[in-house]
Amino acid sequence: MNAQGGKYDKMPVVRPILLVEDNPMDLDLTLKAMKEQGMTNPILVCRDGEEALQFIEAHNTEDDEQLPLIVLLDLRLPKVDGIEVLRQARQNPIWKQIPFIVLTTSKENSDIRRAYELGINSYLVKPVDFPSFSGMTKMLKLYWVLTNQPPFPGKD
Amino acid sequence: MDAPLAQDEDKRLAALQSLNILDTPPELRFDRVTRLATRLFKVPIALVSLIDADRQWFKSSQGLTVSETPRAISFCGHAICGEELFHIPNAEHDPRFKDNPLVTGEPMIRFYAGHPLTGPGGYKLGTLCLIDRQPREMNPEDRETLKDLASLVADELGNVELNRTAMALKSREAELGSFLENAHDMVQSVGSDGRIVYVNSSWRKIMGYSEDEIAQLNLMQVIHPDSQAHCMAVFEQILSGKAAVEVEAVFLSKTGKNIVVSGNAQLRKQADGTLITQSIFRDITFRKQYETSMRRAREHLERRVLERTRDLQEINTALEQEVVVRKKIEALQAGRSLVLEKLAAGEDKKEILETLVRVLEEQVSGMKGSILLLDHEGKRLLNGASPNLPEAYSREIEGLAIGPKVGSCGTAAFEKRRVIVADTQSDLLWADYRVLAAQHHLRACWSHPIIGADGGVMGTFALYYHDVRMPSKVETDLIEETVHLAAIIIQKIKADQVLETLNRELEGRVKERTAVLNETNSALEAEMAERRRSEELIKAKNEELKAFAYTVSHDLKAPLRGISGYAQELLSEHHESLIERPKFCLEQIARATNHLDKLIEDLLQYSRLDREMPKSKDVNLNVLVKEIIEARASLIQDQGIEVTIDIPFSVVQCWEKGMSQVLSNLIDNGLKYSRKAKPPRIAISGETCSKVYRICVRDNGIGFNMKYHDRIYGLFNRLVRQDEYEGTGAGLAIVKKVIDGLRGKVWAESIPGQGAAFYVEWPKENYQQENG
Repeated sequence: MNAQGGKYDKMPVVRPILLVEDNPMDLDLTLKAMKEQGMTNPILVCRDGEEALQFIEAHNTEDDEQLPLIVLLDLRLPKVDGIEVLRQARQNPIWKQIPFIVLTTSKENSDIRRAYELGINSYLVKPVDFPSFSGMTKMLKLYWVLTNQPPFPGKD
Repeated sequence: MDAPLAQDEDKRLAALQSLNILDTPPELRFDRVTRLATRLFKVPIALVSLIDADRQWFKSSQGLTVSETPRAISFCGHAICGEELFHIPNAEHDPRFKDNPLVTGEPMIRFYAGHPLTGPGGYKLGTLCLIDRQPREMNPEDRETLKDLASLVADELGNVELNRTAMALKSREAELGSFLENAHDMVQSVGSDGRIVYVNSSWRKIMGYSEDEIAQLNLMQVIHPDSQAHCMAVFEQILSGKAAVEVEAVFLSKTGKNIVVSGNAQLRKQADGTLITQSIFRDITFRKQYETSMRRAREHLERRVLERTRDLQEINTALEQEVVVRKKIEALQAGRSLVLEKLAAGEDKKEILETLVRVLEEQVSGMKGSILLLDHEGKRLLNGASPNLPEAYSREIEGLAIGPKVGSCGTAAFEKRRVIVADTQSDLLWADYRVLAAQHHLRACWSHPIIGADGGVMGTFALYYHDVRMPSKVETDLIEETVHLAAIIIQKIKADQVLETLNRELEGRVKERTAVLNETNSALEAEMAERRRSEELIKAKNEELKAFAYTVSHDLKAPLRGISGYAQELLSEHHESLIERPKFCLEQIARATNHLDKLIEDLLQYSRLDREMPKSKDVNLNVLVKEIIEARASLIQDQGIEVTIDIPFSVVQCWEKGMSQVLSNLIDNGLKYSRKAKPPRIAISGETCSKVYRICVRDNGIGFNMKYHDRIYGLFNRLVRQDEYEGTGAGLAIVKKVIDGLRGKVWAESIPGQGAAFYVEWPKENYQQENG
């Protein structure tokens, strides 16, 4: 632990990032981009919507250590799609406070509107070009991991 | 023989004049003597006669009505010639007098005895004389007596004082005479024998007689024959001593004019004892005429009033009768309203007609009404409504064939006229039905044809009575009203029947038509269902298509990212271990993935246009173009491209996002294909026409052959190679799609090597709803 940091400094270190992604290639490249950008948070991965809902159900308290710092959510998922995951998460008193960032290929207006209606915090379109994607991941880390103040600051 | 004149006649006359006694009124002092003389000598006439120049004037006179006579024929004129008594025992035998008119005529003098009257100076002034109509003698005693009496008279004549009094009296009388003479009223004196003694000037003037003529007149001659009896009666009355009598009479003027007079008359005894009537009348002819005309006018007026009153009474009577009729008609109309209500309520026709008959029966006592209806063939009469006729009778005449001699109704219907039969037992029309009528005590029967609007007979309305009778005016009016109403009702009933038939036909036709329509409808419904199924199918296909585009965007891109990502990784992280050819291959893979990415992007954009609706709003095209140019500023600057913008309309109703895509694509094309021109130029201009907006983007680039014009709007169709001018070939396809959505059009003009001009235009009117 970094003694020099403030009482919240240790939080980003311990709190995981939840990645909901079914495509193995996308998952690999995303993890690679995160690694490239020096993201040190544990990365928890759900491979479909159902898994994501089970995870939410399983980690349902304020002080759960698995409670993620942010959720990166693909919309197009097997079994239960991303929109449904969002809808249920937003009905949960704990999870409705967690920042959800949609990370998807779709630029469809309908997707964007529905996602924001369910209270997402950011909507990012994955570029095909990997360097661009890596750059985007860097911005994401800078803002959501390092800059943003998350909910449930926890106890000392 | 005329009376002789005295020798000293002038002096004698002067002496007489000096006594101032001539023409004075009678005086008692002389009248006493003459009255005494008549009694003493038992003669009818005694006179004091004064001999004037040519007359003898009687100062006193008993038994004579005249006051003077001519001197020439006088006895006295002889008498004054001697001193002693002048005595004629019988004038008839006296040669001097036997021819005298006073002897031969009135007063038929026979005996005359006159003693001269000697006045002052010894002149013989006149005589005191006795006259009888019989001859007689005078003895000496008589002579002495007469002489004494004559002396008495002579003494009185000499009494100048008394004479003056008499003279004064005379002048007063003259005044009075003048007064009467000049009075406006008519004054007359009439002798008891009816001779007119005196009339004044007004009398003469009004009656038109001269003084001379009057002397010859008898009163009765101037009185209108109609008035004579009345006047005579009045005259007698006066003579019998009645003091004064009011008289009204009609005189006859000389010219025959009626003169109406009113006044009074009285009796006057003259000095000589004779009686005269004196009257003062007023000419009231005009008043009478006025009164008469007034009376006539009044009578005329009264007659007129009477006539008028009679007229008014007649009118009044007529009015009263009219009122009676009116009341009956009103009662009938009340009944009529009831009938019409029933008619409107669509009650049974028989009941309505019966009500009508009953309504009339209530108004006409003792009457039994009957309505018969003509059958469809117009030949037979059928019972319509006869509520109070004997049923047996109605049965008997049911189906009666109409004809010229078929009772009242049959004839009325046949001849289309009113048939009044006052007595069925004597009328020829009833010859065949007399017994039937008698059985049911039906004596009078008046029948009216009921005429329809088309002028045809629809039936009859008959009124039966048990007694012989003719219709009164009131009855006729009532009947006509009722017949009129009956016509309306029957007309309505007939119309209803026709309507009912028509309705039935119509219903049949409606049913047929409905059946046909139902079939058609079923077919249509089946077709509709089919159509709906097709639509559902198309919709599903569309959804599928949308899902396809979505899948493309997502599912194609994921592997693309993989290819790109891993190729990049090889190129960047394993750069040293790669030889030339594999490195080139990886670079080609990366480029291909980039192009594929763009293609997918454009395909998505294009397919999205299908799903997005044009949204109309105010768009400032100048600003929009400038923003597009601004976004490409570095490119424009690097390549030194000249851009001009000339859009005269700024804010238009338009679909902003669509228009942005159109302008971006056209400008991008211009920038792309003109970049080798020196210098490259792009002109964006606008034009507003009456119904459309038009925008042109012109460049001086490579242009194209117009034979390919129609191809350039196809998706992914390109006219140039990828390695010369990059691109996917979606730009113009997107432009066309947007402009099609706006119901506009897009076209281009170009000459290869000299540039191209692309035009888009779209209608001004709001297209939002049409594209909703």
